[in-house]
Amino acid sequence: MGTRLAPVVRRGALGALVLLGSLCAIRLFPASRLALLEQTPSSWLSLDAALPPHDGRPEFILGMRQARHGHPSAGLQQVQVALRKSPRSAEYLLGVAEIRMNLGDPDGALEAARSAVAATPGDAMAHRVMGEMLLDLDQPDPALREFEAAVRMGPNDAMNQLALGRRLLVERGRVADARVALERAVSLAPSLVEARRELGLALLKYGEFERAETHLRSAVGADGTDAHALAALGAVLRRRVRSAVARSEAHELLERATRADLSDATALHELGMLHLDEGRCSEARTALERAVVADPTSQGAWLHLSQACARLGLPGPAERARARFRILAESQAALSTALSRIDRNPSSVSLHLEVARIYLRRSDYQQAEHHLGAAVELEPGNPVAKAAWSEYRRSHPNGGAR
Amino acid sequence: MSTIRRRAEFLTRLGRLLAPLVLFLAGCGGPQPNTPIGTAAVTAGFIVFEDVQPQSGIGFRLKASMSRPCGVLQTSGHPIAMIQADEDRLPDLVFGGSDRVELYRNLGGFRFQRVAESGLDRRAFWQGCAVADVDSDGREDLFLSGYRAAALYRGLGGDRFQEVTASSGVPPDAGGAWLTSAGFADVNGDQRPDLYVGGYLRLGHRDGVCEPLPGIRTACGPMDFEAERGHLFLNDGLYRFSDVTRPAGLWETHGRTLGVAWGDANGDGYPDLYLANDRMPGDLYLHPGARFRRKEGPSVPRFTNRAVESGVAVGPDGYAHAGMGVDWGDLGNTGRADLVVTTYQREATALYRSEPGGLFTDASFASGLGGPTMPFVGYGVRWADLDNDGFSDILIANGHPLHLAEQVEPGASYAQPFQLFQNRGDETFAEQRVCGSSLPRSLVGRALATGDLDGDGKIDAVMSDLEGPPLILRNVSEHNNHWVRFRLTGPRCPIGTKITVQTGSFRAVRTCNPGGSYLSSSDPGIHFGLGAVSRLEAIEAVWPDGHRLRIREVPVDQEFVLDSRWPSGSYQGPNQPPAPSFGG
Repeated sequence: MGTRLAPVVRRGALGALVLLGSLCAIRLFPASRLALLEQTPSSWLSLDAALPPHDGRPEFILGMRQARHGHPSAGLQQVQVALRKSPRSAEYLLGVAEIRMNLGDPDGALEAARSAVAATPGDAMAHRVMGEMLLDLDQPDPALREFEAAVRMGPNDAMNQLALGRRLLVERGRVADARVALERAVSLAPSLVEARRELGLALLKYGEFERAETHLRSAVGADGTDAHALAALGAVLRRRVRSAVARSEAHELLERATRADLSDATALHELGMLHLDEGRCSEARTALERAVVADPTSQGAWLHLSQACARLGLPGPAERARARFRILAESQAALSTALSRIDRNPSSVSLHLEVARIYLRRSDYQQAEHHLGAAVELEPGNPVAKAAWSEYRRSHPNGGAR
Repeated sequence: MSTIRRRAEFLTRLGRLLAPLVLFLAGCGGPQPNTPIGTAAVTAGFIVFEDVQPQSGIGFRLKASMSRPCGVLQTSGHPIAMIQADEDRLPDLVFGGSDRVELYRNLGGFRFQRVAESGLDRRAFWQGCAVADVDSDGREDLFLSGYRAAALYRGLGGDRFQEVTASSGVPPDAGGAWLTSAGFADVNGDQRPDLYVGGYLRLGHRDGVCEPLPGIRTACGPMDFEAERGHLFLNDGLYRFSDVTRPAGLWETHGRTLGVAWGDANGDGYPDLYLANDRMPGDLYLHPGARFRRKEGPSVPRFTNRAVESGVAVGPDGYAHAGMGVDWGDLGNTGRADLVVTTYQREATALYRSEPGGLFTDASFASGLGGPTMPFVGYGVRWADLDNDGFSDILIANGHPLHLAEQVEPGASYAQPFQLFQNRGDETFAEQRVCGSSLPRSLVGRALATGDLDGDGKIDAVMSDLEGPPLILRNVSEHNNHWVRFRLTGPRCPIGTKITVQTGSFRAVRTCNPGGSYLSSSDPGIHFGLGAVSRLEAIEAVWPDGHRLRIREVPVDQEFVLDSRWPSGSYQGPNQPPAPSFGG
């Protein structure tokens, strides 16, 4: 029995080491999407002290500290020293990736992250971190594949389910899959507030307002400044109940959300609609004007802004907002069709160019740039793609930044 | 008393006794007492239905999931029409399928008999329908739309029809198009009903089957195909129609149209057209109104799409939804036409409340309709005062378009329960989750038509089930509310005629609106629930061409015929011209 168990135990210990090492690396990552990984259940971390240090760990910790305190180059040197001692450490490789990202070297960062995944191909954590990094680099499709790999390798890890669910929630037509992953994440880690928030958002899309409210209230209870949770809870209350008290609470939540994040377009749009529902057209206009500044591609915000202006007797601004809405609405169907075709044929240069043109019409320069870039990458010698890219760069020298 | 009647009454009593208890146990609030309208307090009650199909004699049934292929065409639904095929004033029923049409004669008392020699013989994949007296001969005619098929049947009376498509100007093969819902309205004021028929998708040579997940072959979505667009046919008389889509300004609709409803969106008295488009913004084409002057010879009004400006193009979040069925009604007895549009799952059924000036406000969630409809895919939808309390309730037929929905999406189901929303009288609805023994039951709902099938003053409903016989919903609600109904005759096209009833401060407006819903045609009788109002001081009917008829002192709890040739005056008796003493 003992001889049969030994390899299992060894493998388990090794797995735990890799897992914990990765966790440490993740905990050192800066804020942004990776911050969610810091909510890892504390029971895992408590084992950390009991484990023997990795070879090169002191250099790694020193390097990461330096990097996070404004000395990324020095930090990188230290982490590379650690890496020379343990060249296949996923933890150290992910550390390099993080620092390279902060140094503005996304290619180097990606290469390091890929090395981490290659070094520990069965490590769900590495895939998940890789996915987060790809998301930061605006590569949602490969990121989704990494999250799916992470869930395949670690289906009982709430963080993997959360990362996948959150990604799916913003994918076209994947809300049902997102809901499954997020339900799983919440059942695995009921205290994982972010999972509850994301599940609340999924349930809001399903119209299951009662359950959505429960999860969102716990998210707001845990972090009263979480603008997304505040906005979502306000949205639920606006839809769910018609009492004056509930509407007043919805109003307060949405106001708080807009204070917590001054550019939260969803919260501003919801607040504008609430004002509009209740006949406060001037307040609605103010909120909706902020919403369209925060997200110029929000069809709904433009539409409701035009309605608020029309009711205020301002035909000029109403017509301008309506014209903007019309462009967005009319191009939405063409965009959906073209994106579906890209899903089926992702290497088609002409499709990427078509989608880029639609995004340009919608003034969504970030997405336009993404597809123009994809077209040029797919066929660097394609004259049409090159011309489109040059034209774009000429007219948008600052790129897709709004 | 017949056994059926006794059984119905027993179930009614039982339903009435049990409904509050069941509602309480189901955890849903029952309807609240309605707001009094004027001096007439309204008696609120539960709406109770009984599915009488098994004993009705209606043997028609569908089985879409057995079709090979079972694609987007096969699961899109088939027509139901309530039509006066004979002279007994009881609505008869027409059911269409993938290869046949059947007419059932209404024998009264919810007994129906299939008419073997109806003349509705053409075999095609039928989708939608519309009913009107096309030639003003006093008999209703039937238009059927389908996949690469269209048919115009002339009503001969005596449950007989004669196909006149070939000479009508409507292409029998629909020009190869996939036609869906249809509706009649007099668009040019010549007192003849004109026809709009929606177009859905261009399947080409494809079978409409896709593989959303490996190994699961089920219906494709609307965005997998090019959009088809609809047509407006002008009635030239003598069963001749001209396609005037382009001169009428209707050639640039968004297409992918599933629902078609004529209504007066801006209150100018002229027919406007709403198109519910699948995954596309909805279209609201406004009639030019008084600017349109009928000239000598054929003339066509030019419609303008004002969906965006009016606020009815998209759903509550500002994005295009999957528009399915559509109907015009009056949410709060304001006299203005409000609009309901059914949608796909996870989208709220849209309720657009009409405001003065032709603007609409999204009231989907504020009305209580939005939340409960989000789990379902809605198709047929009708406004109807099902409890005769003076306010229009809403009935919705639900069912998923994918026959393998359960395998494609966790939690989804092919068959879904229909939904009943009782109007509280304060511009909100309460979903009535129990409305009879085992009702609402799940079905793959599509078409939905309403009308009083047994003449008892309560609106009944017929709903198609893609996987079985239709649901024949007999309204067995028990209450003391009064009602009145008007059936329009005469040479003028009755569709779009508005009737206003008034007594004291109670005032309600209803429109002759047999179209709307989804692939359906309802009974054209104009029905008013009156609550406690037991006598009407006056009624006024205004035909689309502006002709008015006013009658004073009208009794209630009856159906009346109103002939557009009658003068205004005092009530003389049922179906008799009024005495011309009233300054009309």
